[in-house]
Amino acid sequence: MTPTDKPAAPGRRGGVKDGQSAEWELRLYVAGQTPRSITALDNLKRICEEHLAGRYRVEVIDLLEHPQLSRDDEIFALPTLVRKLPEPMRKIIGDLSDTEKVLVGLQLRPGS
Amino acid sequence: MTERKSKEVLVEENRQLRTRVEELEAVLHAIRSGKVDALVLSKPAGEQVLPLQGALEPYRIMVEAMGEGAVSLSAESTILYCNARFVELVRMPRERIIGLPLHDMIAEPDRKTFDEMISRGLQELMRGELTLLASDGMRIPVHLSMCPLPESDGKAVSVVVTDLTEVFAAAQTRTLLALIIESSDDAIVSTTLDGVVKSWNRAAEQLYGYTADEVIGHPIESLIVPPERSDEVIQELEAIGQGEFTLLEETVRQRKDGTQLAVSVKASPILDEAGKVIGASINARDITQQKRMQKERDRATHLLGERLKEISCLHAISTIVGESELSIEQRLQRIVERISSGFRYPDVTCARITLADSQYSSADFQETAWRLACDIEVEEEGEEGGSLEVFYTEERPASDEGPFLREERDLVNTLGRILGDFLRLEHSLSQLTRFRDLVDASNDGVFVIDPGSACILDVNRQACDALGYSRDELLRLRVIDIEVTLPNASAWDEHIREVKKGGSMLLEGEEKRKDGRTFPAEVSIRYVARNEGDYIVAIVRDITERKRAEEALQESEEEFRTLAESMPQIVWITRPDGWNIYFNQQWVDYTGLTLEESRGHGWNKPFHPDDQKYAWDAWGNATKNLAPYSIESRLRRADGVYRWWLVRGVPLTDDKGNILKWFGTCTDIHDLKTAEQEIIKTNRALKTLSAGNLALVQATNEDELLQTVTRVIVEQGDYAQAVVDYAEDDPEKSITPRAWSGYEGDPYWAEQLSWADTEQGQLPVSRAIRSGKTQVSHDIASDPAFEPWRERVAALGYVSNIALPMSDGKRIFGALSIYSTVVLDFDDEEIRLLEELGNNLAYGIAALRVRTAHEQDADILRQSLEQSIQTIAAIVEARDPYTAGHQRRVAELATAIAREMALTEDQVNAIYFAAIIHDLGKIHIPAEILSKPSKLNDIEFMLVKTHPQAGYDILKNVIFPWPIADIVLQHHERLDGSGYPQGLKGGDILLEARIITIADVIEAMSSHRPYRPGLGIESALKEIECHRGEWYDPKAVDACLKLFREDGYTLPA
Repeated sequence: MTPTDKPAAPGRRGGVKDGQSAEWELRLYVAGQTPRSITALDNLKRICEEHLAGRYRVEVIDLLEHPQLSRDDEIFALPTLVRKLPEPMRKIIGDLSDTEKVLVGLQLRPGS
Repeated sequence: MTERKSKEVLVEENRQLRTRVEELEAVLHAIRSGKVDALVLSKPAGEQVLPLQGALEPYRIMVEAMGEGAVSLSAESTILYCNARFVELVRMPRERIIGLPLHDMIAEPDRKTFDEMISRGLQELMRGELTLLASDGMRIPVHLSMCPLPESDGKAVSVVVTDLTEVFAAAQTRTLLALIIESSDDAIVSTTLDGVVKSWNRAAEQLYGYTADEVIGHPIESLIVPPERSDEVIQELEAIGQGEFTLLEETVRQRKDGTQLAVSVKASPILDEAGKVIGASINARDITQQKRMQKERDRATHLLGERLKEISCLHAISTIVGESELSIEQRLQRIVERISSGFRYPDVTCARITLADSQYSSADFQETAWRLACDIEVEEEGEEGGSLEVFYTEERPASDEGPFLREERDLVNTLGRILGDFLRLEHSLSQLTRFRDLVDASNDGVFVIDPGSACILDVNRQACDALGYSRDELLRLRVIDIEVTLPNASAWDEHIREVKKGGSMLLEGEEKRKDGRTFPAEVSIRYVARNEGDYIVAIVRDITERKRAEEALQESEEEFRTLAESMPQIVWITRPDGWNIYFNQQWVDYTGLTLEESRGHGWNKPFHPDDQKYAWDAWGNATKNLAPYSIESRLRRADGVYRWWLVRGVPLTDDKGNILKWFGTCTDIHDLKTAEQEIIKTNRALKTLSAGNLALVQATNEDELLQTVTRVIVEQGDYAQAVVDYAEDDPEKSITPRAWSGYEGDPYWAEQLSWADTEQGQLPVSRAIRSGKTQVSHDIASDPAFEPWRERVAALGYVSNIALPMSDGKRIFGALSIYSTVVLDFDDEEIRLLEELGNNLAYGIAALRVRTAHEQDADILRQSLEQSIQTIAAIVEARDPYTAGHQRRVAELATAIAREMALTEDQVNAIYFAAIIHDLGKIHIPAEILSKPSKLNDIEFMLVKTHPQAGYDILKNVIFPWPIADIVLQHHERLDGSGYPQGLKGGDILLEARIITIADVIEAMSSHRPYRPGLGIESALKEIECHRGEWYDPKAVDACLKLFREDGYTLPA
């Protein structure tokens, strides 16, 4: 992932190959190519590689292009990270720069 | 069950709610802390993503999203901020707008007003309408709403700019519409849904006689609707209330003065801006004039239909006349059944044909007072003509001739003429069958046999009677099937060899009847060699009686003598050397010789001089070889007349084979012999005639017929020359040779030949034409009439000449002359036969002339059918100038496609005629719609779609030789059932219609229409290619594409 990559949706990036099922399925909803969305994607990729290498799949959805896709996961603000799998669904709003908070949100680390 | 929820459920609910609250808190927190790019708003129209920029973004977003322009101004009117809508309005990039004074963007006349507004706007809310100038000079009417910006201390104002362009335009449109309505020729009235009049234009004032002031505010039905039609208005308003359009094509309205008028009324709903129906716009047009035109048009259409019925009736009847596989009776019956179809009221029309000896009537025949009749001229000597009568079984309104039309009188006369021609033709053909009767007259059985196969070729009636077979049965048999003495085919062949040597032979046979019984017969066999092949004529006489007598003769001398005396034949006995010792009384009675005179060799005396040597030689031969003696010879009767006798003798031998005596008989075979000669002649005549008949049947023109018949006379009849001369009706009464055979070169006899009673007019041919009677010259050499041509005729060896007059029933139009090289040819019987031939030829020529005339009639009928159809086509196109030539081009293309598909010529004709009038139904569609220069609305299109049915209705009662009405009905159907009017599918649509559909689409798309220019042939071809097999017949599409793309076909101009 480089900053020039356009987080166009629906696009797939992740640690598993297409067609294989992933233990972790994540969706990042963004509103166009903003610095914040790029930061969010960078942070997410880093965290996943550190903690979920080979077990995850990330789908980036640009709601500027497909606003109706927000309905699936009841998205109110962008960017939002949604943990689709494992259940239950979890949402984390923002640019994911607070790694600790992200790990807690994804339940990779017990919260306080 | 109560609504109490279990604890677990409640806990789960609680958990979800908590999650949701946390989530929303997180969102709010994120927004507050500036970690969010955008918000997602859920709206009924769909989700909307609102990008955020900084803390004030929510407001800014709202302003940006406003439909009105928004501007912040300093006190000097400098623009501090503007939204996207304003950018759009003034058409300038935002960065250039910021910092400019708005004052400069206001149109000059309004600037002062603007300045006042802004000075007051710093303190209080100000509103006003001004004109804004866009960067491109465009003047935009706007509404400005100005108020002081809070916390600016009266140094800035916020302005909302509303674009009034559309409002102005709407107002203008309203004015324009009002003008149009006011100046319209149609009465245009608007009402509330309750029918209360809201507006009333000038045309309405003129049409109904009420002024607008008199009616506005009053219910419409009380004013202009006749009481009996008030339901109509209630229904109309109900439909309008449902948002529907209504159309009353023809109704009645009432004027102020109480008079009524015919109008067409169109009503459409008036909608408010929210799309709710709030009233009706009712548009009425005076159609009194239009109705009169429509009536005129209907009448013209009806008359055309009548003409078409008559023409197609004639066409059908002339077709029936030509159906030669039917008998005359069948054809006459069919014709009489068909006549009613040509009349105005076919259901009450019946017909009758009355001839001299027969009558034909249609099934529902009934004689009444309403009668139309004409004579049928059969023109046969001694035969009365007939009549054709047509009756109406019920009374019908009076017309040109009783209840009948003048055209129907013409129809009846034409039919009478066709029937007369037909009957004369048929009659002349029946003459030819008379010849058979001759042969049937003989008392002996006559057989014509093929020598090679022994097959029986022909028999007479007596032969059938004697053997108990029918003629057809005998013609399937061979001689050896009926002749007991012929055990096999080789026995027959032996006979043939013998008879070929002698020319004829007489033998005794035994014939087997169909029932198995046999009888003895005397069989005279003659071998006849002809150009066209050999045949055997066998004459069979039942000799049962004679046999019995002969057998008895041998029983005793005394008994023999008694018997011999009682026999009808001559009986004789001679010594072995031929010396006569006995004759019975019949010999004495016949020859007039005494027994004494006849004794010894005296019996030779009555033999014909020509036969004496032959008879004597045969006798010598018989006595030498002890063979039975049998000759045919002429014996002189007491009165000197020679008659033919069959003289037979058998030797009576002792045990050692020595001849004791000859016993013999003489049988009078003169009648038989004559009959045989007649048969040979008759056969010659029959051959000539049958060849002549064949020529008659096959002849297509007169000269060919004459040429064939003269050739037949020479070749089949063994005459030297045959010539047909025509009598000219000129003052010189000249004679023109038309055809001849047996002579090559220019007709020498034509010089100075005349049928006037002059020196040049004494030849048999001239006299025959003059007198109408057969003329014979038995000896040309001594006939003074031949003087001018004697040398040339003598050089050709002609000895005798017969001339037979030819009449067509009205005049002698010529003569058939035959020349022979034989003296005393043309005896009475032959003359009779040749006269018959001459008559037949005359009939044939007359018949051929009638037939030619008849064919011309059929041609004329076909042409008038075509012309009528073309006329109808022209009527349709006259009303729809934009499609002028459309039907003709469709017809030409459709027939080209049909030919490409190798359809029959009959189908091609059907397609041509159906295509040339396929839009006939459009005469029922108002011309305004047909030529409307814009796309049609739903109601108008619905009307246009009625044209196939309307065309069908006009054509359905017209009997064409093809299903034209159905083809017209189906020309807008599509294979998948999506067409109209019936929604037929695939094979249910006539192939002819499927082809016309394609030609119609191609022509329509590639030519100009009132509402659009032509789209070009290529897009038309793409259209049919695209829907090939779905809407359009795939084979016809392929044929059409091939025509244009490979064969270089182009639509006619």
